[in-house]
Amino acid sequence: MPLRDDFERLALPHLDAAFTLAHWLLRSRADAEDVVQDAYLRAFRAFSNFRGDAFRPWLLAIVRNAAYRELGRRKQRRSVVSLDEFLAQAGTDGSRSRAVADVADERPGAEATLVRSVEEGYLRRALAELSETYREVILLREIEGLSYREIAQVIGAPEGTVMSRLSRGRGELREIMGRLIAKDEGHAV
Amino acid sequence: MQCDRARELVSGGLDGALGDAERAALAAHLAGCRECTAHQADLERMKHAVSALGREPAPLPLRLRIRDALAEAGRQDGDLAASVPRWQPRLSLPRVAAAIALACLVSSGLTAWLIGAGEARARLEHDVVSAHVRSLLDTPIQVASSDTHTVKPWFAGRVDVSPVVRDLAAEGFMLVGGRLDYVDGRRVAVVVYRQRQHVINVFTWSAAAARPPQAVVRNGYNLLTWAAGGVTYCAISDLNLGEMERLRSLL
Repeated sequence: MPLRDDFERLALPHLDAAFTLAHWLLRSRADAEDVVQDAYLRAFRAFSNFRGDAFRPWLLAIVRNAAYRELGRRKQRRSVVSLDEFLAQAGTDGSRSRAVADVADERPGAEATLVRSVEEGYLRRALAELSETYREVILLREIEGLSYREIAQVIGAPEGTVMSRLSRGRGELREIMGRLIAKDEGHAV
Repeated sequence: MQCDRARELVSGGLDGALGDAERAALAAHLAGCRECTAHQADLERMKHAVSALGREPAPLPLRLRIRDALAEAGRQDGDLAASVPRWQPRLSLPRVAAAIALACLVSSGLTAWLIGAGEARARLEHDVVSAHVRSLLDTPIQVASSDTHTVKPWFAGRVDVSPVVRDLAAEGFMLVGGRLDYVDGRRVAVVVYRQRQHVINVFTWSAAAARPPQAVVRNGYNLLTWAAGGVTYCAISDLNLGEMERLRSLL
């Protein structure tokens, strides 16, 4: 099966990227596994129509569509996934944990920062609370390192939209982080 | 510039997505605005932190399930073709190829447990042999051409190396073409030559340093590995080692 070999050669190296996107969009490992498997089969069936070099955005767009279909089904069934369970699976309960970035900032204005230290637990919780629209562009940009153009291909929107969603999404993420940190410091006092 | 506008630009600035004029205007604003500077510092810190979270590795069972599901889907497509009688005797080949590919996959999935240079090399050699055998069973070529100027540019943008590609027909090595393969957890460029009935697959990937040629025999195939010009070459064939060494000296 030459077609299948070609597909596997191109698609399997992106399995971690596909799983990461589905995992964060659905906030559930089990649902992410089902969705990624479904998406890979759909991608394989559509593969003979694939043209061009941008395979990763093409594949991730299919994964994203499959994830949104599942989110739609959830909404219909009014089923809710547990955010705490999702965060527990990542080995964190969304509270203080190892710092993944610290302030060592002597620039003017440093005293006005909301996010002096980024704890992994807070960051995962804040990302999970962010709306999918913003969450996906931030993940594709920071974790996959996709260009604006590639992100635009994945989400099926113009590059200008990618730019403004990244800007707004990062702003909201900052506010959620600031709120989580302030709440925690409030408890500590 | 108003703070609202500056906040819109900060994010694009972190991605290097601003034009010169915007970047200069933003810098001028930040120089005099404590709040927007803090906004920028926070966004930058979080950008790095999200990036540090990294990918969620796909569970191995999922990887295997997808392999099975694709094999099943591929077989269904194959069944349609099988109505032509001459396909019958070939039906077992894809299964052999699938089994070999699955073995490759499992071995690369187990990478985490394999430590030590010896084991890493054995795994690499195993992958190369599997990929070579697979290519002999099925689809050896993605870009079929004896023209160097067709094969070499085909790799650009598909892999991160630009391997040496030569037409050596006068020396007895015919350039057949090129393809991509997956070896040791990465995408590699393969240049395919032929000498009489012998196929020679030259696998190539990026190299940190030049390395003198080293020959081993695996499953009856000769493997000759060397590194030059930032590229590792691993030639494999059932040709004798003398001929393979001659090919190496010509590349």
